[in-house]
Amino acid sequence: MDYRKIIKEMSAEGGMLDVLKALQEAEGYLSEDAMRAVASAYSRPVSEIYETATFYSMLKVQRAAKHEVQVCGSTCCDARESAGLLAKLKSRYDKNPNVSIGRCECLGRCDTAPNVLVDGELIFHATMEDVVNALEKAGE
Amino acid sequence: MIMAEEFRITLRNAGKINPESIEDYIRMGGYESLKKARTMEQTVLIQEVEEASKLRGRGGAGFSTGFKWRGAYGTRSDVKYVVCNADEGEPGTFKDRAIIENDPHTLIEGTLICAYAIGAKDVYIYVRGEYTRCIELLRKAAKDAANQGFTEDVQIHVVGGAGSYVCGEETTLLDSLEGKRGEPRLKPPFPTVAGFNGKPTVVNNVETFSAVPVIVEKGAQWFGSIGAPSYPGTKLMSLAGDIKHRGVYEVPTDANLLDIINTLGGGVNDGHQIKCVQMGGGSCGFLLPDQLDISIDFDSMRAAGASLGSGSVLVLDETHNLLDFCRGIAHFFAHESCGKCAPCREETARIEEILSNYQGTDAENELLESLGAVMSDACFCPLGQGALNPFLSARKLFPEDFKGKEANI
Repeated sequence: MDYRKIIKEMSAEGGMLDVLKALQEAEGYLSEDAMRAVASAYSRPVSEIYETATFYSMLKVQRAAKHEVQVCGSTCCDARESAGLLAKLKSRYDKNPNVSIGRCECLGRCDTAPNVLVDGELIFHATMEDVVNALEKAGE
Repeated sequence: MIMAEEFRITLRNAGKINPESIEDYIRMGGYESLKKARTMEQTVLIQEVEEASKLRGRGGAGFSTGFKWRGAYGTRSDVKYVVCNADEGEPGTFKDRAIIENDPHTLIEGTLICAYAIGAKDVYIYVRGEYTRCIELLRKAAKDAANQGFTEDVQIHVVGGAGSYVCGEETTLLDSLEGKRGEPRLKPPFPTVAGFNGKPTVVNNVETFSAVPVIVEKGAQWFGSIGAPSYPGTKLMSLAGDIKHRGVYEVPTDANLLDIINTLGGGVNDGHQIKCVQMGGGSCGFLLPDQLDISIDFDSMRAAGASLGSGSVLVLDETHNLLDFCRGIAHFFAHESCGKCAPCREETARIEEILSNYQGTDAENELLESLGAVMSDACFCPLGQGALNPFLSARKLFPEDFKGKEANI
């Protein structure tokens, strides 16, 4: 993979976090090679890039499940029963290795709670049915 | 009582223009304030913002905007920066998104006016990573403004975050902008002396910058006559939870909270009553229905023992159990603690653990209270200092929800 090209393009547009997100988008996760390329482009130690990559919740240094469902659990979504939705989803996809179900924190969409991200796509006023449909569409 | 009505300054163009069109913005008088500002002496411009308009930050701290500008202006340096905090991560807050998605150029114009005032050549707008649409709109708006010549020799950089609540704190945001993990810095030096890359930096919230073009256009006296005298202007309120019309509303700062909930928010859903309101954000305490009859301005809120914070209003009806709710908040803080200081890193995790098995015993309460006391004394930044506030407030107001096993868990 041409890390340098992605780094060059994205650093003209945004900051280093944007660069890391773009590399993750291209490869599915932030590989060691990708982090080394960023370190060399920014003249920083690889350990510092790893520090950054493991700090932010949107960055992943390990390959994730094929499909990722994130249920917002912060205050407003919690007040609209997101915890129950998360539990139901967890039990339904418990045995499916292609789907990871987890809680995320405030998405800034509190007016349309509860909110769920399926592979990064927002589902607002989310119901069990909506999420299951989205996953079925994605092939699960 | 006068019914609460919207009064739109920062959202004045919302719904009237296409946010992707700079022509629309210009047609509404856009970038005229920037032209006017650039004919003013920098010190006069800063004074207009500081003394005459008394504009105070809309991000949550309520700090004087002009004071920051004057500090950065007065610090000698070859390079200075303007940073806009669009890392809107406070649970229950979505006002900055409303501004950017409706009218990104208002924000761009505000930041450019600040850049002129302090003598900065670079503007950084740090947008939380989840707001992909906002990032897209702002990048387009910045390009369009540059193509039309409005930016002159100033560069606007739109930088995305990557999911971290603590980065909303201004010094943490600067670390994150430098590509580091987000940890709050020791103050002083304040960012106006040593901020981004160690250079003098003004950090203001989206809503603060977005009020600036109108202040320049209509004058500080006009702005100062709106709302509460000590905190003049308007405030964007994010209404969420168990009410009919959830959304963002811009009101004068002397508007009444109960009135906002009932008139603009349409009140609680039919057949239910307000149990309590969490006002200001995730680390704030709760207000009972009979405490809501207050003005929303920063100082009135503080005098009432509440906090305006970022202007979030989360209404809970009687169906909620506050122990369950506090467990959710405890998880939030344990997840978002940055790990810099031990009291926050360790104790947010302990609080989550204790609340997950909470039985309502005196021993648990004493332990939680002592953890809370240590955190408010010893935590480095407000995240840890306030992490136990919701629990302490809720247990005091609703002891019946905290009887452990009997509670609805």
